[in-house]
Parts: sequence; C-alpha cells; structure tokens
Amino acid sequence: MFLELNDLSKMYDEHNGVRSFDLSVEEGEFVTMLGPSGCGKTTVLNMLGGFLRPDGGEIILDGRDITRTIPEERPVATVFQNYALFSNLNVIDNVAYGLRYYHQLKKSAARKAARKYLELVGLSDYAQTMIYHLSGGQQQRVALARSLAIEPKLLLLDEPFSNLDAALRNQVRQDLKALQKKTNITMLFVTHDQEEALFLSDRIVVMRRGEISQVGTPKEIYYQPQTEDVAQFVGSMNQTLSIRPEDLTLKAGGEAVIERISFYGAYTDYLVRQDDDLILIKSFGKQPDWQPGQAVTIEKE
Amino acid sequence: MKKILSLLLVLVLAIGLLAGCTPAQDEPTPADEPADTPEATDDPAVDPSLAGTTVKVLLAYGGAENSFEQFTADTGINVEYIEISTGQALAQIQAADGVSAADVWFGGGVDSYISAAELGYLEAYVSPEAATIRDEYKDKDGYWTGLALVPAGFLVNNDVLAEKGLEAPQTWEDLADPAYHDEIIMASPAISGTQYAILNGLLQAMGEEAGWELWEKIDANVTTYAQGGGEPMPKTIAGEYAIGVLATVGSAYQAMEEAPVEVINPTDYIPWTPAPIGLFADAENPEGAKVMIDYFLSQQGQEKLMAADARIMTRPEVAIPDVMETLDASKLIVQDVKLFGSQREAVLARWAELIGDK
Amino acid sequence: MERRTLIRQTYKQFDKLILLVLIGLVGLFIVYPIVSIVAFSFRSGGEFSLTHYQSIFSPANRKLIWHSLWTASSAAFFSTVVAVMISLSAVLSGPRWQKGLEKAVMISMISPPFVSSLAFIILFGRRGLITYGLLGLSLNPYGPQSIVLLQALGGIAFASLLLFANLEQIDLFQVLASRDLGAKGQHTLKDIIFPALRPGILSAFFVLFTMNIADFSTPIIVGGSFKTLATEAYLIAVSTPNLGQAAAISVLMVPSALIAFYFYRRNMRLGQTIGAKRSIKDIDLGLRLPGWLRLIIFLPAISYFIITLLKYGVILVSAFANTSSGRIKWTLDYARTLPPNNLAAIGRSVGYSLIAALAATIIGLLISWYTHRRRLPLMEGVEFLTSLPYIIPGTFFGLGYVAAFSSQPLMLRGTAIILITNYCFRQLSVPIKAANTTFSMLDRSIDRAAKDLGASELQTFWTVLLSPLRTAFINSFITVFTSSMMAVGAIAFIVSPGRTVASMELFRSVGQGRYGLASFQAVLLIVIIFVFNLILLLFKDRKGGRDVSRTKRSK
Repeated sequence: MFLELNDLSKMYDEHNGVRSFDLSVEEGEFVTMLGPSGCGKTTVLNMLGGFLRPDGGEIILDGRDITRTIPEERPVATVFQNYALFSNLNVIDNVAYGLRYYHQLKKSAARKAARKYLELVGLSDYAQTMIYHLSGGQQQRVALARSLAIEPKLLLLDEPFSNLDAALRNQVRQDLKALQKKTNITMLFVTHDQEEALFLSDRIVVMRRGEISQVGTPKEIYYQPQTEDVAQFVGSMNQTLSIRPEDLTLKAGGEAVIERISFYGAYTDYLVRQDDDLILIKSFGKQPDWQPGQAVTIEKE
Repeated sequence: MKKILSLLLVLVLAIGLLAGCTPAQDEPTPADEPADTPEATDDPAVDPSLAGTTVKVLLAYGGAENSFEQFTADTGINVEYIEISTGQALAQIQAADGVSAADVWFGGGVDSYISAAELGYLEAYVSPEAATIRDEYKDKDGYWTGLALVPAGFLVNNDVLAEKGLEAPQTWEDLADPAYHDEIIMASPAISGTQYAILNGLLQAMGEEAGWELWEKIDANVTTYAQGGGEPMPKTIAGEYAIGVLATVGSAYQAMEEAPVEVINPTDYIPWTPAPIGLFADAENPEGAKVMIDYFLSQQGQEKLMAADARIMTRPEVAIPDVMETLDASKLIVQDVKLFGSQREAVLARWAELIGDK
Repeated sequence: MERRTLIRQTYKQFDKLILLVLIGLVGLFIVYPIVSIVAFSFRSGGEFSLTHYQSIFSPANRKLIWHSLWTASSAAFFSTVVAVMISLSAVLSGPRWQKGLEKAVMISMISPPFVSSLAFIILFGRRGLITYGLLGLSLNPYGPQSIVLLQALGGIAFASLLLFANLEQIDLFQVLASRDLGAKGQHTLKDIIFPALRPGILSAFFVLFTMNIADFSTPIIVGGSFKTLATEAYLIAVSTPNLGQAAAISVLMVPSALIAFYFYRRNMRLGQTIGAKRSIKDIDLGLRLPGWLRLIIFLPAISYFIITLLKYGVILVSAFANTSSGRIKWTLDYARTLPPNNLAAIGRSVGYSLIAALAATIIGLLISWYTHRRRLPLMEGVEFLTSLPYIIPGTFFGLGYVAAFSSQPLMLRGTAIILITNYCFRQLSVPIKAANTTFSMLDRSIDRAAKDLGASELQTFWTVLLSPLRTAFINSFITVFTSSMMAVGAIAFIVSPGRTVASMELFRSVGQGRYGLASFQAVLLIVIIFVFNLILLLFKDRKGGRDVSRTKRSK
C-alpha cells in the first residue's frame, strides 16, 4: 500500500475528534473523505499534512513512517480551503515557492519549472499577475498548480471548491479529475458534498462523529450502504421501505396521496403519504400533469 | 466572579468620577500649626467683609505656602494657589490674551513681572506698607514690589572637592580658576531668572569690560549649561558637580543637613534678584489681593514669610535670617533692576556669542 | 408598519445628530485650539506679522532642525527594530507566551515622564551608581547619544503594540502553506511574515519619529548642551514673552506628521487579503529557526524587559534611599515630605483620566465607525484632524487650549472640563486606530445582514458591531487612561489653582531638583496606574466572548 493510516486517533475532548482511523490507499488513487461538519475529516487531513500531531497511530507513506515528520519535510502538499495564496507575490512566484524551498532550486530555475504547472492549469498568461487581481476560480487553480509543482507523493485538498459558484464548480471538478488521471498523483479529498465525492473518487470514506462508517467505491457506497446514516447521507433513502426514491415509480389512482411536488427540471420529486408514512419518489423525464392531492399507487421500478 | 469584577469596575469608575467632580479645593493644612499669639491678629487694614472670600495665587516662591495658613487665620481670607514658574505663567497668560485666572502673582523672576507690566497684565498698586522699602527693591509705578531678595552664591560639595583636591571658591573671581574646569554647574541665563540676575548684576557691579572678561574665564570652566534653574542644586547635592551656582535661599541651607554640601556667600559681590509680588489686572478679588499684598509687605507678614523660607526680606525692619549669618549684606550689589529688563536682549545676545555652542 | 417607519426615521435623525456632534467636538476641541495657537505665530507686537517665520530658517534654527531630525529618526529606527524583534518573538512563542508578552509590553508603557531620564542619570550620571559607584568612571552622560537612547527605549512599547495589531492580520493558512511547501522557519519569516509586517513597520517608524520630534522633556534633562526644536520652542515659551516665536518653531514640526499619517493610512489599506481569514495570533505556528537566528530575535526582546525592570527598580530604590555621591542610604524622608495636596492631586488625576478615557474611547469608536464602516468621505478629513494633536508638542496643544478657552463664552480655564477635554482629545487617535484595525478584519457582510433584517445604522452598530469592538474598546481605554495619568506637556499650562494633578506634582518636584521626592511620587503614580491597568485587564479577560465572525466555517 502506498499510504497507510493505522489506528490514527486525535481527541480534542471526550466527544470531538477522530478514533481508530484505519485506511489504506494505493498509489494514484483518488480517495474522498465524506461526512457532515464535525465528523473529523479535516482532522485526519491535518494530521496527514503534519499540522496536527496524532495522539496515537501511525502514517506510512511510500514505505516511510512520517507520523512525526514536520510539514516542511513531508512529501505532502495541501490545497487549503481559502487557497492561502501568498498575497505579496505574483502568480509565478507563488507556484515556484515550493520548488525553491522543497526542491531547493534557484529562483530562476524554479520559475522556469513552475511555468509547466501553470500551463497544466491553463493560466500561462497570468504568470506576472498579482494574486488579488485574480478571480476565485483562477486563484483556486493557482493554489492547485502551486501544490502540484513540488510533485508531492500525496496531495491533500480541503474542500477546495466550496468558495466557487455552482456553474464553475462543475467545470473545475472535471478539470481536477482529468488532472489527477494525467499526473497520477495520489489525492486525498475532503468534502461534505456527496455529489462531488461520487463524481471524483475512486473510493469514498464516509465518516461520522470521528469514525469511519463505510469505505468503498462510489457505486458500493451508493448501492450497498452498510449503515442507515450512510444511506441517508449519500443520496436519499426511504427508511420505512428501505428503498431509494429513484427506484420507485407512481401510477395514477390508489390509496396513497401526493402531498408535495418539487420540480427540478430533469427530475421531479414527489412526497407521497401512504398509511401514515411519507415516501419520497424521484422520477426522471417528463411527468404527467399531477397536482398535490392526486391519488397514486407506489410501485417499484 | 464576573459579577464581582463588574462591580469592582463600576465602583472604580464611580470613585473616579467622584474624585474628578470635587470642586477645586483650598490647599489643605501644612505641617505647622497656626500660632495663636494675640499680636498676629492686629492687621489694621482688614475689612471684615472680605472674610470668607478667596484669593487665587500664582506662586513661584518656594516655601511660602507654609505661611498662607497664618494669612488666612489673620485675615479670614482663603488662599488657593498653584505653584508655577513665572516663565510658564507668563506664557499661559499670553496665550490667554491677558486672562490670568488669578489675583496675585507671588514670587518668581522679576523680568516676567516687567514683561507682564508692559503687556498690560498687571495693575499698579502701591501698598502703604511699601513705604519703607528701598526704591531698588520695587517698581516705581507700583506694578510690582519686592518681597524678598534672593541672593546668589555657591553651593559646594565638600566630598567632591576633597576628592579632587580642591578648595572651595570664595569669590566670583575664584570661579575663573582653571582648576575648577568641568566642575561647575550653572543654569543658562536665558532660562533662569536667578542666573540672569547674576550675569547682569556682576556686569553692573564690575563694569561691562571687566565683567565680560570674568565671564569669559568662568565660561571656560563650564562644559554645559543647565536648561533649568532648578538643576544646579540637586546635581551638586548628588555629587555630579563640585560647585553649583544658584540662589542661596532656605532650601540650599537645608540641604546642608542631608548632604555633604555647604553654602558659600561670595565675599566680593552678592548678586541678587527681587522676589516680587504683584496684582493681576483681571483679578476677581482685587480687594482681597491688596490685603494679601499689604500683609506680606508688612513687618509681621514679612517675619512670617521669612520663617517659612529663609531669605533677606525687603523690609529693613526685618533682620537677616540667622542661617544666613555668613552673608555680608554690604556686599549686595547696587543695581538697577529696571535694567534687567531693558538690557536683556542685548546681554543675552552677547552671552550667546560668548558661550558659542554650549 | 407605520410605527416601524417612524422608529426608523427617528434613528436616522439621531444618526445625523451624532455625526454632527462628533464633527462639532473635533472642530471645537482640536481644530480651534490648534488654530488659536498657530495664530500666535503670525502675531508680533499685537499685529499680524511674518517676522517669526522670516527668522525661522536662521542658521541657529537650521542646526536645531538638523539635530531634531537625526536624533528623532535614529531613536525611531532603534525602537522599530527592537519592536520588530519583540513581535517576531511573539510569533515564535506559543500562545501563552504571546498573551504574556503583550501584557508585559502594555505594562511597560506605564512610565511617568522623566522616570527614564531620572533612572538614567542615577545609574549613569557623573556620579552614577553604575558608572561611578561600580566602575569608578566619571562619565558625562549628557548629550545626543543619551537622547537617542532614552527616546528609543520609550518608543519600543508603542511600536510593539502597533506591530502586534499588524500580526493579527496575517493569515494563518499562508504560514501553514509556506511550511507545507517546504520552506524552513527563516524562509517563512522572510517571505511571509516580514512582508506582512512591513506596513506596520513604516507606520510605527513615522509615528515614533513624529513623537520624538515633539518630545521636549528628554532632551532637556539628558541633552546637556545639545538642543532640539522641541526644547527650543519650550524654552522660548517659558523664558521669554515671545510666544509667537515659540509657536512658529512648533509649526515646523508639522510636515513630518503629515508623512507619518500618509504611511499609516497606506498601512491600513494594505491589510486586506482574500477569503476567510484565520489570524496567527495566539496560535503556535511551529516555526523552527536556527539557534543563532533565535538568539538575534529574542535577545533584544529580553534585554528590553530587563532594562525596563531595572528602570523601575532604580526608581523604587531612589524613592526610598538617598543616592547621592554613588552610595545608597535608605530613608523614608521622601515619603514624609510628600506635599499634603499630593493625594488629592492623585485622586483628581484618576478621576479626570477615567472620564477622559471613557469619552475618548466612545467618541473615537464612533468616529472610526463613520469613517471606515459607513465610509463617509468627510470623515476621512476628520480622522486626519484627530491625528494633529499628536504632531505638535504637548505644550502647544495645552497653550492652544489656554488661548482658545480663556474668554467667554467658552471660559473653561480653571475648570476640570478643560483638563479632561485636553486629555481626551489629545489621545483621540488611539481608539480610532484601534477600531480601524478591528473593522478591517470584520467582514462587511455582517453589517449588511443586520440591515437586511431591518436594523437601522445605529441599531447595527449597537447590536452587531459593538461586541467585536470590545477588545479595541478596552485596550484603548487602558491606553488613554495611562497616557492621561502620565501626561505633562499639554497640561502644564492648563492646571489652575486648586486643580493640580499628580503628574504635575511630579513635574514640579523634578523641576525643583528634588529627585528623591520625585522618585517617590513617580512610584506612587506607577503603582496606581498599574493597579487600574490590572483591574481593567482582568475585566477584559473574564468577559471575553468568542468572536463568531472570525471562526472557520466547518471542521
């Protein structure tokens, strides 16, 4: 295994922190840690980055135990949520920073090497621009280029897209996935957005309250949730019937009644009351002209 | 705990506000008790209607405040004073365009009084008690009258002298002795009224040519001139210098009790400057002020003032204080104080040339 | 619906009223006195004249200008360098040390006038305890080097506090990113932290420079025959009836202040970074530095505190011992000869200073709010005006008050009000600058959120902004209180019979040369200021609420 986290733990107090975290990651894998606020995903990330000292456990990266290594010396790079670009430097100097200090290149050599990475993220024309002149999306790409430039063995990303608007987010996700495939760098991604996780990851680690709920490929997580909260968190789940809304369909007439209709364009959600239960049905494509109050029957697809 | 601290803070603020809001107070009782000798209360000019009023005083006469309580006991008039150097007071009054916010100017540098009179800040008042006072000690128009003479001389530190193997100087001519190089501290005459009086007084006594010659030689012995009139005394006491040139008044003699210093009254000339008293043109209580002026120019008043701080009083009836027995009154320079004012610019200009950078 | 509109209208009017009052106060208590005293420089012999200005560039004066320039800048330079070391020491130590350091620096600001100079002479004078008593040397301590030394020492605390505020604006994640990318401690220091400090450094340098130029008390005591503009102006004022000339010389000191203000404003603007920010304050950054570098950084800081302790120690000893001739003889004489009105004077000092501090903090915060938060362009000018009292020597600000308020209808001479307002308005820029810093770190969206929910401007201020301003409020309060307690220059001319304050009593004792008594009075003053500082600091810590607007979004 390229990256091993063995029995990692860090407790801030009795309830908050991370317990007995075990994970193995292969080289070139894209793994996402997914979970609600406070689940501990960022804690794990910070321990990997070297900014937090674990209470117990170990981190082995490419055969080396880096549990106690300081961040300056770890072959790990982090893309921070607020990008943390160096506001007193321009774009190329930001990207070249790691090359100067981690790889100890001279300034000019570092700048030259940095250009490659600028190209990679499509910002070659902005080399001399100062950071505060860039848009959010551009800054995000600079942050990425900066971290990639040192060719880390492990790249950590802390919710890097949360500050971008929805339209942009889709684009950058595509770009990131392509980039990862191209460079084959092992990436560990943290998010609370399950769509993002499903799209980007080779594997997802679903976390809750400091512990791992489930580890698996996106399809495994989605189609074979092992616990109730995984099922609820990733996608929606009708608890009483134990079936996902998109696996149900409606026929006109019957004992059930539609309480609410939510139109989302490509799909429509129906909230249907059946025997004191509220069931959620997701239906794709053009819908019949129903209104709340409509009597329906729920059927499996 | 939070509550206690909040309460504490409120308490603190309350005390603060209370302290700040107290009206101006009379200066509380000094150490000495009011004497109840019957002769003290026979000030003939006291108008009973003035009893209970207040006189505001700008004070530049060290120690005088100790006699104010007696004044109040004798006349029934209260005293509010603030100690402020006459130079500062003059600047203040100037800035205020003549408003002094006081009634009486008590002590200090006579040149400030002269300037103040010229600028119209003082009101002429010839006190009946001033009749016996010599003309040189008062302003002929009555803008100021001398309360006392402040003689000038040396304060020497015997320890330092012994260390350096020097004898104490006895005359102004002695000061010119190169052996005293860098051991003399003197105030700048541009700042210190006393020092200016020494400068000008010696010039008047010795004649200009001889006078400037002497000053040149003395200047050679001085490395720095103090920027404050109050500096020579403590520095000599502290042993920073062997010889301090200063006003030899009560406090100088007192210092002899605590430190290895000695007052020397020069045997050739004794420069002096009058410590005046004057009435402000904008006084709110001019009648009370006049009572005070009369009081401190009267024989009894002068004796009380002398008891408060040993000086040579202007009333001839009052003897020289015991502690100043070594002072030969005949050596007091005969000088025209008016010249202090009129010659000031010229003298100081020549002085500046003489001392150059110091 | 109508009632709500009516309330909003009332708040709007109230809002305008407050603005007018603020402008009026600044005009009356800052502009008017300064104009009054500057007017003096244009008068000679009772009429308008430029004679003072004609002689202003005489060779003698030019020498003074040169003297002033180089001592002030040297002292400011040294202060700034040491202050930078102290800030870096703070950055390199853990959160506990940081807090302690900040408090220690604030406390070292408690230094009544002349205390440093006195201590210096006692230790290093011609018969100083160290130079003479210990080493048997009889050196002459008077001269420009002593001026620079003492002014430098005096400015360190102020510069440090300014830089601490600067540090708060550094983004934690930038530091972490730097480490993440392999930069060693000294590189992070050089590339990230130092550039971020640069605006603060310039700001501190120029403010200190201005303050040093206006300082007259230090050169008077330890300057010997080396004269500066400030001393010359002061001496002319108090020893000649030539107030106009003194005023003209003071006016010479204004240009430097303008430069200082310009750099200060630039500093404020550059403090903007993008995105959510977490400050590096009170965090252990984990920067590792080579030993020699740590030494260079920590040594000045440690030395500073040792010297400060020494200074207090010496004054304490000098208050209870006779130190003439390089020997020590213990005595309680100074305590015994304390003038009877001293305690009342202390009471008045405390009372006036507290009121002034309260007033200054409130007015200052409000002005900062209107200028920076509400972004009213007029108020930028007003803010500049509030910096003016710092530029001119305190003595002239005081004389300005005398000139302005000695006649009806504004006859304030002889009252407590003139003292309090003088304290208050001289220091007004302190809370303003503190509030500016706080505002620059608060996201504007919270204002908008409040207004969005129906709050008027005033309500927004009261409910939403007041809490984060706490720290600025309390720090300013403490600073203004302390400075007022120690102030001498400005109020030397405006104390009146029956209303003397503790600092003036101290000034007088020093002027009379009664150094022992002065030491005792200084000790009293220091203790009292210290006690109040302590109470106020405790209050700040206990009631400290967490600043929600600055926390990170999610874990």
